[in-house]
Amino acid sequence: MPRQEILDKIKVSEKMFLFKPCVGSNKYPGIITSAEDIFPKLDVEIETSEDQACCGGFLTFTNVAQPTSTMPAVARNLALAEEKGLDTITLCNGCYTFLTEFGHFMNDRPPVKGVVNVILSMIGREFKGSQSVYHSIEILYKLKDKIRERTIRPLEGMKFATHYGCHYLFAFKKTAIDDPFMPSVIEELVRDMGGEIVEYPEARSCCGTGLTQVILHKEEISLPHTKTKLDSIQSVKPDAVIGVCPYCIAQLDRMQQKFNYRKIGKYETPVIHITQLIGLALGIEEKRLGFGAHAISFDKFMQKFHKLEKARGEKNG
Amino acid sequence: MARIGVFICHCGINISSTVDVEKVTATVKELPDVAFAMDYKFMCSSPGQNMIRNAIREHELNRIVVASCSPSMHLPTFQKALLNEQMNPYLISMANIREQCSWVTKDREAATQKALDLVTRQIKRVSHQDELFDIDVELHKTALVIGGGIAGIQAALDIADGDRKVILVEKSPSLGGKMAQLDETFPTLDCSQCILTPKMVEVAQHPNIRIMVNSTIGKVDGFVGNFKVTINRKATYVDEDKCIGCGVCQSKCPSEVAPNEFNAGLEKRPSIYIPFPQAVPAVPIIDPENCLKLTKGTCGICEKVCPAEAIRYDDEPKEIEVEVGAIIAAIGYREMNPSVYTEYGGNRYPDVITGLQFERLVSSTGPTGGELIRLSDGKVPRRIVFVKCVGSRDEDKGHTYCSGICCMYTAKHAMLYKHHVPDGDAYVCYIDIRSPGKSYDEFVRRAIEEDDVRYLRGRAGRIMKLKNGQYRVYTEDTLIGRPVAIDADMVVLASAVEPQGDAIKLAQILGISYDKDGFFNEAHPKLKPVETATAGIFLAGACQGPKDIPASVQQGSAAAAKVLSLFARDTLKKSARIAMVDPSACTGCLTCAYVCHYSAIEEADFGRRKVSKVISGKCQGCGACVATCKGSAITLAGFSDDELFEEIVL
Amino acid sequence: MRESQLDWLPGYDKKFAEVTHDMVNDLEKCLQCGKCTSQCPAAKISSYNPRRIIRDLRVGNIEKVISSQELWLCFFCGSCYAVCPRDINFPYAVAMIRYAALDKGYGWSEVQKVKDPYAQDYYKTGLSVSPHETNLGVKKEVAKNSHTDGRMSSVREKMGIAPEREVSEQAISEIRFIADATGMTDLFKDIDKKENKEKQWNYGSPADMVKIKRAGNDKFEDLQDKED
Repeated sequence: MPRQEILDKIKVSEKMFLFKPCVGSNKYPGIITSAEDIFPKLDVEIETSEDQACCGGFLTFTNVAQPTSTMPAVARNLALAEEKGLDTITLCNGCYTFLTEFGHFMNDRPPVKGVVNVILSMIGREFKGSQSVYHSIEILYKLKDKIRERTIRPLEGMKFATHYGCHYLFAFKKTAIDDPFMPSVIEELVRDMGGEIVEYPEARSCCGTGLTQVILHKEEISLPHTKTKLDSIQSVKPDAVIGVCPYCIAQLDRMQQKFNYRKIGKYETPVIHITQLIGLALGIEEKRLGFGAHAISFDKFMQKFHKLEKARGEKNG
Repeated sequence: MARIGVFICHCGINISSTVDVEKVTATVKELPDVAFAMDYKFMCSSPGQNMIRNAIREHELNRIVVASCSPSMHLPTFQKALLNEQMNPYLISMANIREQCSWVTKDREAATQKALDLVTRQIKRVSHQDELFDIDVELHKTALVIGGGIAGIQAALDIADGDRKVILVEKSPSLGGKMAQLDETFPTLDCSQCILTPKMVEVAQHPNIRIMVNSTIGKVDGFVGNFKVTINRKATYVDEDKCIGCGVCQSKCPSEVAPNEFNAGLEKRPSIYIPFPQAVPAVPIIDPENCLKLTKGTCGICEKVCPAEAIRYDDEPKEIEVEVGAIIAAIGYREMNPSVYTEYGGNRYPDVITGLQFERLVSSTGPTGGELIRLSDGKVPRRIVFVKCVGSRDEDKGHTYCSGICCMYTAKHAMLYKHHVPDGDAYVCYIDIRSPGKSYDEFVRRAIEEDDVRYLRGRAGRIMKLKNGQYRVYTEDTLIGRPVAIDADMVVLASAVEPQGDAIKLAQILGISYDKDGFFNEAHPKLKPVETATAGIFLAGACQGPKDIPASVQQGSAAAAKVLSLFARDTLKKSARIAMVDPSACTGCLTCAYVCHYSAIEEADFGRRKVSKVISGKCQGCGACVATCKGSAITLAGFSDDELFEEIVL
Repeated sequence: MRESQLDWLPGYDKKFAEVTHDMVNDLEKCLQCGKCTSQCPAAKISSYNPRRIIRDLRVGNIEKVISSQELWLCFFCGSCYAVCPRDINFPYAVAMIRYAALDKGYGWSEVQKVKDPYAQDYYKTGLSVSPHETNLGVKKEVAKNSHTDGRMSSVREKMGIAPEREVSEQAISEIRFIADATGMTDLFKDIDKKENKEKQWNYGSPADMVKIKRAGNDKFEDLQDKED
């Protein structure tokens, strides 16, 4: 489907439900805090819920629970936003995949939905399938013009590599706003904020986390990919890699540390979520960006950023 | 009084396996007016027809009902039996108890009941049928061939050699089509242009052929033998009678911005141009979207340098009306644009090119003069990968069908590469090798055995541009079951064959059907491969489905033979089933003339009133006027109210 | 090794429909073109091969698929689906075939690895990633300097937010209810006791695995997560 048609279907509301990812909460809290800060700056009020739990997909795709068990858990999470009458924004490719795929699965099969709702009725909830689930990158791309206008700390002089993550582009080849192999939405957003994009050959490769690979201790399966990807990124020397999925970010960030420790190379490219980057450009409080949680330090990155900012300030008087 | 004979066919076991034929026969025997009824294994066979003839004589039958297949299949067969017994051929009616009954169910009881129903209705109807007489119409013995590629050229030459006139219409500025763009041809590796250009010249010089280039079909009226066609000729801004084809204009044109269509977009061409050196006619055309004179009013150089004073900036499009007796559609195909294949770079990698671009790249008339080099840096590619099935056999991004020609042309490309770069590596990624033609498989083997082209069974999954300027092709060698990466200097995508962009529009103008992909439909996939469902319109070449040169030439000749046999007659018989106006009931509102697709109704005087009148030569018996007439003044012969009511009311 | 059609089960799709929850689409449409495997990250470095798995399912060699080690190597990246000319959503198929394997006693060891650190977290806290998760295999002091030593609370506090993201008691009790009602709780209790048949390298061998080259030592065992 042409991008415009898909974009037209995405509805940015005044108020939206922010779905908190587990990895975001417990490894990179800055992803959530910056999301909470940037959306109001772009005129989208954000609501969250303490009742929201893990999306449930993780357990399904590690096969530790049957889909029959996780389906109601997904439905419960979707019902929270429905109760508020809000559409959901997800910050993680995984949450996006499982909420939309399972949501559609239940909507397309009334008997499945019926059984799920019998279980939900016992906890006083109901899944109607009335609200939409969007990926944060979709909403941010729709708000592109506002982001450009409201950028107060432009990224001029900073170079970025991008990593979209498989579970947004590949898994949704028909419905994602971008082409699986030649995407450009992050690039456009970054250029709008004044930043520069560097291309690298392995841009379309998987980060290597492969959902379960690292967890199952199959480093021999997972790490060669991460290494190939990181080597390719290093070769073009970006100031940071931009991701849209906390899971990918965790892999690309923490494995650099692991490789360094094991002397498999020297890697020092910080990895940043798009909400953190936009947060930086829109001028939210730096401590709310949560760079402290990243294994690869943002010190050099921020030094360069501050230096360029200062130089610009002096130039402009 | 009607004496009806009923003949029920078993059609082998096609009907009798689900319909109790004997029971139907026994039951209809008892119906009023039925003088005779029988069933037989193959009613259409010659013994079967003889049975009908004998029964007509013995039982003095004057109406016949045959229950078998569809009338479009065998009505003419049974009508012949009636004619042989000096009976009017319109005194027969057919009940379709095969396609609409036995083939669609396994329920024997229900099928038998339905068959009985269908036969009974035809028995009731046939008593009300009257004798009708076919109409003779004259025909124009000129053929229109749409498309000047090899299929159209062959068809035009064969008809013209049969001493009939041909109008050959081509959309682009020159004849030649795709074949003119090819370098060498499989399976003989002879030069494409060397065998094509003599034919193009022959067409140009043939006294019976009128070439109309830069022209498309605007409108088609009429019917077989009597088509009235409007041809739209676009403004070319060059007077073809004065032009001497010297080419000075194109060498001086300063506006080289548009992609060169003939060179598959590999380079730019001037805004006044002769598409290629051997073009027929060798007359240039101005591209009005890029000409500086026509867009901005500046320049005007071509007019100044033209020694023949042939430039006409005020040229305008023309509409030309012609009358023809038959039409051959031969508009060919186009190569699919692989831009949707973003995994292959989506047209963004300069050295990932399509098959047609490769042809131009190795052709001596191409942008590099036949030197095989990378367009990005001018280097000779040391390693090349050919990726087959790009857009073919791909329901996700391309077409479900097999494009048929890519296996052969890829083998040819790989050979050409090896002939240009003998020490280079050529790889072919294929799913299946489809080479079922005379000397075709031997040709592929030659590529593998003599030229050492390495065939890997697997489709390429991704092409990644490396920092050193090479392209890494990811594929799988499915025969060993391992993924493979090949670092290549150039990649050629065997892009799919697809219908021309305006194919569906032309089909609608011609009133012929097309398939889900946009290829024109033949009347019968086996027995009527060049006819369409519309009488007098024939097909040739790749507009009907992917085809190589030999098959296109064959079909061009076949279509020409059909046209010549049509033109061998002086008049055409036309079905008597046409509309008739009862002038005393007609109010002269002429709504019928408005709905008639065939312009077959005209105004006539009836006493002091104006009424509608059907032009019998033009009426196709569609019945639109009958349904529209508020005063029930129009009847369709063979479909009177009596006949229809008897048929639908049991 | 020769295979025999006697060992193949006909009608795989019907037999699989029960375990696949209607989520495996159209494997019979496969052209065996290999586009999936060509750029599959797992195939790149191991004997995992999505095309061959589909092939075996089609001929009915189901036992070979479900008893294989390779079945557990899929990354779920979806690139096979993204390029598939017949639109086969193979990652879903893999997830469902894994359930079929578990059903026959293969692969419980894989699930056991996930249960304790992650699934139990979900059961206890509603989240499947623990705030105390360290960057495994990295020395404590290195991790400490970069806050990847499992003390996320200190980072969160510096950011001015609560030391831990809390999921409400209400939500956790609801999750447990769903887990109880759908058999997840019972499954968690039983996972460690499950019969665990030994999987085979049916499409190659562990030697096919690409190793990370490391100065003087390229044994991947060395990279296994251990507390240094």
